[in-house]
Amino acid sequence: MIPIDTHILALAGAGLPGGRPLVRDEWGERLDEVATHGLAGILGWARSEGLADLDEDSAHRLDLRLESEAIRAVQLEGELIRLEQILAELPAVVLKGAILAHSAYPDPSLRPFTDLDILVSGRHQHAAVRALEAMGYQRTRPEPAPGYDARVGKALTLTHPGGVVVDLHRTLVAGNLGDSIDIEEIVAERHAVLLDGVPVPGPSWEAHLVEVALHAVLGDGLARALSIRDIAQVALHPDLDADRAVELVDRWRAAEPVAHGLRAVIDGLGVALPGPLDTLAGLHPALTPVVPASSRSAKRRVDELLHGDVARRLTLTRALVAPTPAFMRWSYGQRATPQLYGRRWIELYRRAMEARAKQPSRADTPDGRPDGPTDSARAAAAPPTDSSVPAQVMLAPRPPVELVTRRPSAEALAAVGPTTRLHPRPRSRQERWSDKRAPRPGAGVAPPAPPGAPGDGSGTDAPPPPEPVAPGAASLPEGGLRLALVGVGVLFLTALVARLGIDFMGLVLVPAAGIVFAVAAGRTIARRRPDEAWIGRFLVLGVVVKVVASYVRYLTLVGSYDGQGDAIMYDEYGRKFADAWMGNGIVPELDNWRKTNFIRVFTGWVYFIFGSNVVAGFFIFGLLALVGSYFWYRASVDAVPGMNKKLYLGLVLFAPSIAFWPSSIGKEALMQLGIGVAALGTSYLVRQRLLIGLAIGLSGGWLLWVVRPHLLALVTLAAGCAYVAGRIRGSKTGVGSFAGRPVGVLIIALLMAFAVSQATKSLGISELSLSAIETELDEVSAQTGQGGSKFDSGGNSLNPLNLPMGAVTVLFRPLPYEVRTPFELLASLESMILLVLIVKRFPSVRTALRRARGSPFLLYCIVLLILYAATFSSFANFGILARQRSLVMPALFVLIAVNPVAPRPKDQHGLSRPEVVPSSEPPGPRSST
Amino acid sequence: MAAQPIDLSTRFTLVPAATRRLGADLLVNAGGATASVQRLLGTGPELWWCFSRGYSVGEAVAHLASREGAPDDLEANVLKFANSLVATHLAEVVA
Repeated sequence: MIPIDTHILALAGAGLPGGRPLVRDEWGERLDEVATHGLAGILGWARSEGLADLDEDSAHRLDLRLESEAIRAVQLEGELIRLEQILAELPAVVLKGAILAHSAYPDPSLRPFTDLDILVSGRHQHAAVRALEAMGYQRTRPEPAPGYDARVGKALTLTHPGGVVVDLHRTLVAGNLGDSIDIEEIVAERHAVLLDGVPVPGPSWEAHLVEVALHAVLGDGLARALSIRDIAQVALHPDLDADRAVELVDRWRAAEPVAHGLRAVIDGLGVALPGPLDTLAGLHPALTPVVPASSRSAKRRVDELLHGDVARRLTLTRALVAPTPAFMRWSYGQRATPQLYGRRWIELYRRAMEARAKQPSRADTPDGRPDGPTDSARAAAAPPTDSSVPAQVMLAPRPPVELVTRRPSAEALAAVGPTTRLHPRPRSRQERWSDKRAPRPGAGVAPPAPPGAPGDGSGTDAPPPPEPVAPGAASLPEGGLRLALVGVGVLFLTALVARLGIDFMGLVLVPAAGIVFAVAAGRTIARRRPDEAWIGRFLVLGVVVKVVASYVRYLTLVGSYDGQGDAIMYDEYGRKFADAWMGNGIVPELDNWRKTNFIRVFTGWVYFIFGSNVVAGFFIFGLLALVGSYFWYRASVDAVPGMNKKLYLGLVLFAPSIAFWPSSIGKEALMQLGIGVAALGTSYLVRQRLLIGLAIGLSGGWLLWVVRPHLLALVTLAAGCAYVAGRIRGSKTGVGSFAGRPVGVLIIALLMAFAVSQATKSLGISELSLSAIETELDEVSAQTGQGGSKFDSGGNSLNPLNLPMGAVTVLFRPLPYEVRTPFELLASLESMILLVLIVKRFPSVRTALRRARGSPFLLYCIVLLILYAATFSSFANFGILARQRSLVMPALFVLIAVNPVAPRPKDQHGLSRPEVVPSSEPPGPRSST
Repeated sequence: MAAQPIDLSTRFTLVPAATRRLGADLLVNAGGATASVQRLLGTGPELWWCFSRGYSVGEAVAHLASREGAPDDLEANVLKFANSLVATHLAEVVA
């Protein structure tokens, strides 16, 4: 189906063999439509041949139009002559426009054009841009990402202050289809078309047939009559080898769109084509509606992201998610970088939602501009009005013989000078687009336009005034923040493609985002804490290890447990929730959003945002746990002076239990995060930074409360003990100066009471007594003492004498002689290594115990270990125990990683000298809260 | 440098330029985006054609005179046109 009126189609076929007869009248009323379709020249020819009638006024308007088109064309042809050397050396070919006008159409006036389309292979793009810039051209937009012009973009636009627009094409069609077209071959087979004796390179007629067909079908959606006429003119060109054209079409995998174009010529214009082309058109006997470029673009971009050259996909990803700051400022104005990227991602998300709703999208290029047609002729085809074309130009007196030269508009053109647009004309789509996005002052994109040129501020084309720049925006911190924004962008891209129904991209993008965040965090930390400049490497390696561990955990679940595990149940619920929130199902009914149900819902959130992929879900949960591990590190090294930082971070990141167990969709990962956040809050609390400590601690505590209230009780009790029993140094200002400690004690007491009551309620303990707790622990032993990894926990007693055995059970069992399965063997091996480490660093443990009150965070770790040992030693299953153990191991590692201090020597008076330990406080002032 | 006198024997080299007929007129652009389009009215296209093929002024006059309805003061008009071409840098006199 061709969305063009049959009379217009008849006009488009006028003069061609087999063309349909024209109606004689009506054309005066349809002059605008004719011009929009680029057929003013053909209508002029039809009128001169007596095939169409026009009243006087319409004839005058048509003449004005033809003059305007001719003036524009001759200027562009003059420019091609000026660029002759560049075109020859690049090498390049000129597409459509002047080439068709002068060598495919019987008269150049039949084929208007308003810009120059130059085709250069990707590897010559930069050279072409440089050469054109040397000739006075300016890019209309910065490159979105390094390598975008050479690998991704279909074309880029350059403008000359004199008004010439050049579309510099890299390929004939956007997307992966463009990759199958051999541009080098087109350029190698170029031939010369003479423009006033000057050779201008054009493609072979076979290649040009492919180009004009792709342009008409994919670019214009068969909605522009001149594009269909172009196909006919080239297809009927005497120098065209139809057999070779068909061979080229097949080899370039362009059979379908080209066949559509040929079919449009046959069915729409009524023109008969040479045999091979007619056969090709017959492969698609019924014309189907062609989807416009704007509607195809989002899907095509996704296709480009998923397939094809890796470097190109990476460049496209960068261009979509994190374009260069110059490009962002060009697109959105001079704003602070975070604002720019925020706006970018919001826009991308909106477009993805539009695409999902099958609405037309403009996500075709990084700037949202459709990547289909770049020929601005159609937009420039609006007929000129008397006000838009100087009367001096168009209505110059024409004596029968006057042998003088005269400019087309004597006064007006003399006034504007040689470097301005020669003749006023309707703004092309490209120009309007360029004008809207004119570089902002200071953006460093292009020099100011000369006086009188579009956008110089002297006329209606003036760009909006520069927007105010936020103070300090120019000196935003580099590195960490920017990279973090890139990481957010990668996650955003994950969400974006998930919206399009592509769920597996998270497998690549989530780890990639994790690595980017790790690098960003490493840079930021290194800048703020020069003594931790090494941390970035650890974090990146930590992400890699965690991702691998998550995948192994997934394989273990699938391979060893036949897919029967909690994670699979969460996965099923997550999918149901995500589908329901997408409008594809019913939201599962849950009694509440606590404990297991919370993980189900949380999995739904993860799937809804990042796509329903179980392995990607494992990655996300695992990386959340990794964040918890880092919080443990931050809490410890900030609160405990003299920590061996590398050792501690290495332990909390790479200890097999911590890397492996909290790496799946499930409670452990979120609990690792929650306990880490709680530890960080406690770290602030014991440094008497009450408000920030409470704010952080409560957020972590909330997570614990939602999922495992008994863990909240343990953490809160430990924090309470540390706060009450530890030596808290009050700050000299703020809350801590006067009432901080009493207030803190009161708040901690309330929190402890709440946490313990919630824990007992959660565990179903009716009264808070030792016997009731022991009874509960016995029940836990009975419940967990099942399966292949069960063992005899040795009874449950809260007698302090049982604590050492409980601690051994929680932290080190299974012992080597208890091993029965491969997993138990690995767990036992790790335990033995840990024991050896403890023995080797026993001075550290001793120092930690001795300094526990002076460094209350150490006390927090010790109390947490004791409470953990007392409660979790009731677990009678090594598998469950290993998972639970991983959550408290960071506390144990703190004791191991404290740098040992030798016993203090007595001075001459028999008094101990104070310990001197290196400060771990970060440099710079600290505000007291 | 003084301009060379133009007479019937003078020949020209036209600068590289794009041209296009527009009815009886000729549009000329030499310099592309950096130059304006000029319009040669009336029989300008024929003269451009003659000079681009190396005709002298006299040969061009003779060529146009053979056309039906040529004016009486053709020679003066051609000389005037040739001077205009040189003055607007569209043509250079062949030494």
